[in-house]
Amino acid sequence: MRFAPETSAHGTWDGYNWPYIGVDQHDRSQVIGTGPGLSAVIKAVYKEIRDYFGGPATRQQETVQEALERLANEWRAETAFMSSVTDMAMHPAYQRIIGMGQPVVPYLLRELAMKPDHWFWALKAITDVDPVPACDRGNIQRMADAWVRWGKQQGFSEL
Amino acid sequence: MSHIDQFFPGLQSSEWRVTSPQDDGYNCIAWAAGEDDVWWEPDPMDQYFWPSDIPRKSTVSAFVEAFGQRGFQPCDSYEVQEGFEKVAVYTDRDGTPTHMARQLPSGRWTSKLGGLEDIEHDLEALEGSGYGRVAVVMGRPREAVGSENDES
Repeated sequence: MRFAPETSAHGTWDGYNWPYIGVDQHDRSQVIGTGPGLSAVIKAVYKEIRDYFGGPATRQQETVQEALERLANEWRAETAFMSSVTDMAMHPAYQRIIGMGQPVVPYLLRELAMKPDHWFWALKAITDVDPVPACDRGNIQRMADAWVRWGKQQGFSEL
Repeated sequence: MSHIDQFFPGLQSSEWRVTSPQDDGYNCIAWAAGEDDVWWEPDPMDQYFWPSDIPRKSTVSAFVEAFGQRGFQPCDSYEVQEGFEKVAVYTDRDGTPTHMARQLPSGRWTSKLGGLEDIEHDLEALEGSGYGRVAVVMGRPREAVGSENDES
């Protein structure tokens, strides 16, 4: 799709609202945006292109699981000696995992099911729930079990 | 050079030894309190164990208060004293606690290194960019029989 802004036949230039109608260059009957709406369309497509091609080529095809494994390995290697989960959770790799949002939740739950680790901050931050009973706080295995149970209740069948 | 003294260069010029396998189930604060099945931390996300009556803050005063519940009081010396057991709090340059160690009857110290192993070490050997400096030492009378802090 290529943008071809044209001056609207209905409006006049007022210096604030662009009286453009953007049409598909190959099918000029297809209006793809007008005025500020056209700008928003252009911005959205530009961002999509930039985000895709702006990253390393190796990451363009990375799945959620692959991204989690990469970031988790980096996080573990650089925080192994830390005694503070607060410090560990501030690590950039951990923050990027949180930034992955809901799509990473089932993979984090699977990680907990296989081998408990300090994914509790991330899960609570993403889901805004806390299924761990107060009496189990600090017991890593029980905390992991609580989250895995919650995940099964949510329908994550691969746990 | 092991993975441990890579993180703690101060160990390279001192005597130290590994005294347990790696275990993610507890941290240095728990180990200093004599526990090895829980992770102690006053984390702001309210996920980990912290004594309920103690402010949930990562400050030296909160740590002193938490261990005060267990009979520890600040003391002036980290030298071994017969009949007393001591713990030490390390802090970073901002004064935030980063690590705790517990003194053994021999006068040496034991630390749980995050999710890594326990080690026996000199107190100052863990000072550095990772854990900062020892800021506070606390002590309490050592229990006569069956102390949870006795090392085999």
